[in-house]
Order: sequence, then C-alpha cells, then structure tokens
Amino acid sequence: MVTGLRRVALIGNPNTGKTTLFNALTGLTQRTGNYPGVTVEKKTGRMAGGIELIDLPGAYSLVPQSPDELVAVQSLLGRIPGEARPDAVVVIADASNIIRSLYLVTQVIETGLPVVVALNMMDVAKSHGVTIDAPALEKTLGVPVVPTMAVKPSTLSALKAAIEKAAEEQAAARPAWIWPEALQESFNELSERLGGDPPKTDEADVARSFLLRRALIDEGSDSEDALAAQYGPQARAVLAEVRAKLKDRGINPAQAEIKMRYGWINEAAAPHVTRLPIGPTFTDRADAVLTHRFFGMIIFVCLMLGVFIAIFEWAVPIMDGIDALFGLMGEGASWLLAAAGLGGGPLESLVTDGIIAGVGGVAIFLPQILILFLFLAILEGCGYMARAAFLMDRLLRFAGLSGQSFVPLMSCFACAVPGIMAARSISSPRDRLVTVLIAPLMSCSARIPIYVIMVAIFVPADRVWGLSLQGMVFTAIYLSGVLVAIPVALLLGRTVAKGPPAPFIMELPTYKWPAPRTVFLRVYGAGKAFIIRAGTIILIASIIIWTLSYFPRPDSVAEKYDLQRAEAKASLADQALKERVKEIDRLESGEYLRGSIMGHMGRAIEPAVRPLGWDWRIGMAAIASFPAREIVIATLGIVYDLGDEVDVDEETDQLAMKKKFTAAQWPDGRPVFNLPVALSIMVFFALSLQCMATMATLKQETNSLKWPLFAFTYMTALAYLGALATYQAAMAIGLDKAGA
Amino acid sequence: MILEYVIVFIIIAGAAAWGAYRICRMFSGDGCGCGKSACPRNDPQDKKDFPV
Repeated sequence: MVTGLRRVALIGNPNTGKTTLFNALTGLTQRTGNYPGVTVEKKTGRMAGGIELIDLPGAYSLVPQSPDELVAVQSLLGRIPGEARPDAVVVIADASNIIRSLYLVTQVIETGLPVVVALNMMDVAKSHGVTIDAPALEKTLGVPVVPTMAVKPSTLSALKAAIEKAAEEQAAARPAWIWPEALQESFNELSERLGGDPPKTDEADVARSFLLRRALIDEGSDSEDALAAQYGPQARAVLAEVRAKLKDRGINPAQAEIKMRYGWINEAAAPHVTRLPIGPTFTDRADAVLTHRFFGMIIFVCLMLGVFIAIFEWAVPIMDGIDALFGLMGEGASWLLAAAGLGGGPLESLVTDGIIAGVGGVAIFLPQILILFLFLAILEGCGYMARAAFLMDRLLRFAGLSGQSFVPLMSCFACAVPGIMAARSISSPRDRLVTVLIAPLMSCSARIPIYVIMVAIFVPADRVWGLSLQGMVFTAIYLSGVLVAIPVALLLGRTVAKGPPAPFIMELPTYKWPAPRTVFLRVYGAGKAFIIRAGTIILIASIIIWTLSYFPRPDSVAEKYDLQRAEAKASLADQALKERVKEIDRLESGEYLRGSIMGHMGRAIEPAVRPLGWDWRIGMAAIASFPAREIVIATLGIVYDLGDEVDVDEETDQLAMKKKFTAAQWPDGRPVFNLPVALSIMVFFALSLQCMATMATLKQETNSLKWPLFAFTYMTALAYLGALATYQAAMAIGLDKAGA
Repeated sequence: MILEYVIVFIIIAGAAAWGAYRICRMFSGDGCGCGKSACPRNDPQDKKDFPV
C-alpha cells in the first residue's frame, strides 16, 4: 500500500452496477454484464484524489454463501492477511429495489467504517414508478446517500465528492436501530465471558462489537474463526454455550436479525420511498414469452442457431482478406531474406512455413471470434443471459446441477478460464466441483478455427429449409459438448461428488439496451486476447513444431534429389521440365518430413490414430495442440506446407489451407481428408481438454493437481472414443463419398 | 550459411525458453500467466480447498 493512499471498497447486491460504477470512477475497463455473478474476484483501480477503489464481488449480506461472497466480506472486514481494512465503503444500492439493498447497508454501517450509499440505477427506478427522497433517507441512515446513474458518468460528481470526503474525514456512522433485548443480552454475556482488554478507541470498540455479533449470529461462518483467532480456542465453547441459551429461549439469532433489520427498514426508511402503481412493464411482458416453458426454449434454441450461423457466414469475406494479408507477409519476408542473402534455407522456411503459416493459420479466424463476442456482449448486456439461466435450470437439474451453474457454463462458450472462475459464485461445493469439471466440454472460442475449417471444406454448401447446412452442422458440433456434458455431470454427481443439487434462486434483472461502450470493450478485449494468444502461445508452438518437422536434414536426401533434377534438366524442356522439377521438389519435401523428428514420432503413434481415420500428421497435430487447441491448425498448416504436396502459390479464390488439406494423400493415393475424418477431428476437439490455461485454472480453483489431471484423463478418453465412434459410423453410412 | 543457422538456433532456443517459462508460471504462479504483479489471481484468498 502506497503511503497516503486511501482505500475505498465498493460493495453491493449482485447486478446493481458496481463494476460499471467502478469503471466510470477509475476509467478502467473491467468486464460488466446485466446478470448476477459477473465479478467473482476483487479488482482495484485508482480514482482522482489519491483514492484506490476496490471493486468487490456482489453480496446480499455480510454472511457469505459462496466463495466469491467470502472474498467480498473478508476484504471489507480486513480479514485478508497482509491487507488492511478499507478506509471507507461505498454501498451500491439498486434504487429500483431499494428495500432489499438497505439490508446490506445496515450491516455495513455496523462495521464502523465510513459509509456512502450510492443509489444507483435511478433511471430504472423512475421507469418503475419508484421515487426516493434521498435527503430524508440520508438523515434516517446517518450516512451520505447519493443518487447516481453509473452508465452516465456525468451524474457521478456528487458521488466522487462524497467518497473523497468519507475517505478523508473517517467519520464512522452510528446505527440508528436497536437490537432485540434477548440478542443484546447474549452479546453482552459473550463480551463479558471472553474478557480481554477493553478497547482503547471507539473504532476498536465498534470492531469488537461487530465481530461478537457476527460470530454469535453466523453459525459456522468465518467470523467464528476470526473470534477464535482473537480470543483463543475456548471462544468456540463459550459461543456454543451462549447460543444454546438462546435456543432454549426459542430464539434463532439469524432469524431474529432478519426480523429486526427489515422491521427497522420498513418502519424508518421505507416511508422515504414511494411507488406509483404502474401496469406490467416491458420486462414483465417480455418475460411472459422469453421465460415461457415452451416458447422460451424455442426462442433460446433459435437465438443460438442464429448466432452460430452468423459466425459461420458473416466472417468469410474478412477471412479472405486476412488470408491474403498473411500471403503477402510470407512473400515479403522471402523477398527480404533473399535480399539479405539469407533466403532459400532454414531461416526462410522457419519464417514462412513455420511462423507465418502457423500464426496466420490461426489469426485468420479473428472475425469469427469478434462476431461470437459481439453476440455474447449483446445478450449479456440486455439481460437475456439471466433468462437463459432460468430456462436452463430444468435441463441442468436433469444433469444433477442447478441454474447456478449456467452462468459459468455459458461463459465457457467464450473461454473456459473465466467460466471456471465464475463457478466461485456457486454456493454448493459439490455443484461447483461438477461444474468446473464439465466446464471444458463447452465449446470455447478456441475451437472455432477447427470447426470452421473442417465444415467449410468438407460439408456441402447446400441449404436445408432455407438454412445453411454448413451453419447447422457448425451449430450441432458447437452444442455437442453440452449434450455430452449432461451424462458426464450426472455420472460425476453420483461418483466423485455425491449429493443433491443446490436450490437455485436468481434475480432476473430488468431488460436494458446494451451499453455500446460495454459491447465494444467486450469485443475489443476478446479480439486483443486472441491476437495476443496468436502472438505468444501459437507463435511459440509454431516455432517448436517447425523445428521438429524440419530437422534433421540429411545430405543424402539432398544429393539424391539433386541428381534427379540434373537428369530432368538433361532430358526435358519447357513445361515438362517445370512440372518434373515441381514433382521432385514435392517428393524431396515429403521425404524430409517423413525423416524428421516429427515424422518419426508421428509414425510411432499412427497405429493408435488410424482407427479414427487420421494419418500420422493429424495425430501429431492433435498431440502438439495440448498447450492450446488452435495449435492443431497451425501444426497442420506447417506439416502440410513442409510436405509441400500442393503449390499454394497458385491459390486465387480459396483459403490456402483448404487446398492443402484436400490434396493430402495416403501412400496408396486415397485422400487423407474426407467428411468422416473431418467429423472425427471435430468430435475429438469438441470433447478433449487441449488447453493448458484451463488446466492451470482448474488447479488454481480446486487447489489440487488431482482435478485437472482427472479432467484431462476423462476428457481425452471421451474424445478418443467419440472420434472413433463418429468416424466408424460415418464410414458405415457412406459419408466418405459426400463432401463439399 | 552459418549465420543463418545461428539466427535459427537463437529463435528456437528463445521460443523454447519462453514457452517453458510461461508454462511454469501458469502452473506455479499467477495461474493466468499474465505476469502482472497486481494480478488478482495472485491473491492467496482465492485459493480455497475443495471441501468435497
């Protein structure tokens, strides 16, 4: 912590616009969404006036129910080792649902920290006919109450001033409510029996009282641990005795607290809130259809189909442009190296066949990534995702999970890493474990390149019922992970993580127009991450794969083909000579590749991948793509380039990759790739865990190597068997004769 | 020719070292491999045992 820097925490119920407010105050661009559970870890940023803002995950109360709420509460109470308590707190209250938000406000006031209440989403409250007398509420609560609209930064100057004042003056609020007599007696008894030195300052006294109250009320919480840490292990026994006395008197402390708080809120604060009677809102009317058991599901499926068809069809013109750009880069690099006297050798091959073919083969799929994230950002921003979670609750319950798992699983369609982290919002450890173990089965955006290239090349570009067949196959393969995840979740729920699913309660937010800035930032962030990934992991992998595919280069091979070239020159002329030399070049490249380290390794594993319809190059590409699944495209690009079975320079109107694949042959002249092989590759990558970042996240989130290894093993076995069954079934019904 | 091989060797060795570094950091350090000291994923509080 920098000396002189004041730390101010932002806390509030889920989906009250905390992160939007955080971004507006700090100028940062953290991810936001119109559904609960977007923020699952604390984030920090600076605002003017030497203040560090801490954006905490959403919490309904200071009694944490899930790991993300625990982070919020521990951070607020200064229970994180090496981290001081914040100097002030901003409680963000949803103005359209102020009564519920005030529950958390009253709890935070008891911490003794200076508090500012931001009445956020005033525009939504107004549209619901809700008006709040903020000055009167401020007087009742005894803390500053500032109306805000986080989406309009111009409305935040009063809030900024209130935050600076609260952090500067350090004036703690005093609760205006009185605890029930029985509970107060128990607090007093607990305080006397635990003894210890009397607090020397008011602040320490408030902190002590807060800890005693929370420990007494929140049975089994981390407040008990904090009490035991402060007063010794005997504190637990004292706590149990005091609680037993309350029980004997028929008093449940947790229920008594809820009754006391809502009683005070309804009596003292609610009169400052007026609600005009209004008819059904747009949200009510839209939800009647969108969350309908039957029509809601139909609309959901149609929406998903639309998204995937758009991903598939809209991107092609831009892809052609990127492809051409990388083609030019290759030519430019060759020309530059030749000019520097370094052409024609390993360096030129590394740059053009390795780096440009590898990175370019993956980077070409940027348009699909942007389109996917555009749709995700719009669906998240408008509030539809929460409805989708509601619809999916039944399906997930069938899989032994609850709708709580939907948001993390839906996030995995973008990337499994944030999806697995989002599982922190799941209250049941059992549901959380099952969710993170099936999360990598969701088709993340990294699978897009594999699906697109295979579908584009091997699925006929026909139309069925007016819809693109390629788009439908793409959708089907994208959703295959979901279908497989259901039985896997059921099985895991009955074996490694037994127990009933947790109940699912989710607040459905009001529909809003997605904020263009939020949508732009989400799409921009995804595009940037994809480019960075192509420039780091894919680049590294491309160089290593090229090395394994290029070396060794025995002189005997060069001598053999130089002799053949000399013979051709002596006996042929013009076009015949040109074609013969090209043929010799291809044979030479093929022999080098087969004799390379990759070639030897590939042929060793070929018996294992032959039943899937794969040749050794596809097998090696699958193995090489362990760090990141997009590497398979880079690897295939490199090995088929080095094998040079086709002259891609002659390309005019097709993606270079397409011609490379269609020209690949088995030694007997049969094409390596056909529709069954393409389906088998797609199924393998749909079901396998080829992503090191996901494995690392699984390790971090479960704090054990056991679970990532378990996930990798079961998914690899599933992927192999799935690819085997797909290939064999597709061959049996004659799909090898179909094709684009 | 020798210069060409030296450049290729440097590129390969650099890629291998960079790759190994990223993998090690991913699994032992900040998880996401972003390398930022302020990465929230460095927070030990986030590393909770699974009570299953």
